[in-house]
Amino acid sequence: MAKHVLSHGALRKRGFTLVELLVVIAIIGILVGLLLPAVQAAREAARRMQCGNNLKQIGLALHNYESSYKRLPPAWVDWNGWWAPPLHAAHANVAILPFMEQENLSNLYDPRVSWDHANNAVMADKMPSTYVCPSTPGGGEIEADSGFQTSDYNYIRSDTGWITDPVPGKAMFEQNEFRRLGDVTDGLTNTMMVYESAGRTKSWVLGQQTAPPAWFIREYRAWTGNFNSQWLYTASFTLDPSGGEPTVNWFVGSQIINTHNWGAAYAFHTGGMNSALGDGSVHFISENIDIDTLSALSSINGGEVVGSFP
Amino acid sequence: MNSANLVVMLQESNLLRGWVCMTTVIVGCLGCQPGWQAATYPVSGSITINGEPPVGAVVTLIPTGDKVDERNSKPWAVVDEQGQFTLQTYLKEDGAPAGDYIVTVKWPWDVKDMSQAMSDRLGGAYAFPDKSDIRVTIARAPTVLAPIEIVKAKVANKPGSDRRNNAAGPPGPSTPK
Repeated sequence: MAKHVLSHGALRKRGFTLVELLVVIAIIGILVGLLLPAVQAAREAARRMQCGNNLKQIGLALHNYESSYKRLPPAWVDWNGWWAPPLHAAHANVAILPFMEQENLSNLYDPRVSWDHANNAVMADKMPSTYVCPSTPGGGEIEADSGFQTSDYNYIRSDTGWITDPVPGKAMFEQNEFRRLGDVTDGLTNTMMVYESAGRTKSWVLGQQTAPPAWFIREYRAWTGNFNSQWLYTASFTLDPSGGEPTVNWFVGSQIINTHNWGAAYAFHTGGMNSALGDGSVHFISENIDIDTLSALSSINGGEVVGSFP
Repeated sequence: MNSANLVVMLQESNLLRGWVCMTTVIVGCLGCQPGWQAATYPVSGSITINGEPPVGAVVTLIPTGDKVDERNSKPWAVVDEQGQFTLQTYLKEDGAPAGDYIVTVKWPWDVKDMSQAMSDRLGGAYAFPDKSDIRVTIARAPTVLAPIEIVKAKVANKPGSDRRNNAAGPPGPSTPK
């Protein structure tokens, strides 16, 4: 009987003190704090893989295009003849559509007129999801100025040795060039074809959104635009704290990857970017890759011996 | 407040202190130099071309021995109005890793304007390691380089003499006219 009373009393005292609750909450908080980064890292790794898979699809489409036409499509189309005799052709982003299961979308495009002609406005919001890297914040959004979506991938034009090279024109895609794979004497495994230039709906520099430079407009950004191709170069940026246009020392220093997305190599992955090489293989290229190796990868016939890279 | 609660609170504050310490360590490490970078030492110098300071010229140090880091970084600087420069490798004016270098000099019309930054008033005469005979050694201490004096250099007096800019269309993006 007395025992029963005692246990009854003990029952009445049960409950958690504030401190106990706080300790439990703190422990849960610590566990979540430990697990959350791991989960986020796993999610980003998955996004990165899908992003690389998109590049694989683009690489395969380019190869299928080449199988049909014996040449690669042009990725810098000087439609208006600003720098070269005008070329009236669709940009690679559009030209390879039939080779990536987008025949119907391809049929909407009128190749007799420029990408920004009214006939081709229908393409603005119909970009295939293959051109969106899942890691990109706001990937696939409409770019305000052109009214078009922007691709997260870009084609390489001008090899990095350009600055020092008296005979330029050695990258996989050049101005108005329909490249033959036979010209790639460095070997397709040693030559870059497509790389990430992500988030071009906005201007990104060193992880910050900034005001874009005046030239970074329509044809450099819209996914069907003529100038979705760029090259790999060093540049040293100083950010404007108020978000304005950064000041840049061009072609100095040693950082190339993940400096800015004005057509340049830029990805929303930690430590590097994905790239499709000429053989269609996709590699994650570290932003600390030996810049001479990167330079060697950028040319089709530089004769360099490419050092090891992942 | 009973004594048991007090003990728990004390233990908690120890725990708290532990976490504060650990956080400090973690945050402290984030502030460290990333592991792949080489240690740098402050380096400044001065340069004249035909007796004048080449304002806006780019001085780049090419390692003659092993590469200084994974990226094969090349320390560089832009020459100021007095002909002075302070080298940087990773961050503004952080200097250069110790070692032996060949100095290359390029004098673009405007290093801050993309369409001008690739040009060279010196016609590439000092822009390549195999053409330059200026050698420097950076010690493991703050270094002031001996003044670099380039004489009898051919300096272009107006832009556009370097035709490579137009040889294959725009090298980088530039606004079409």
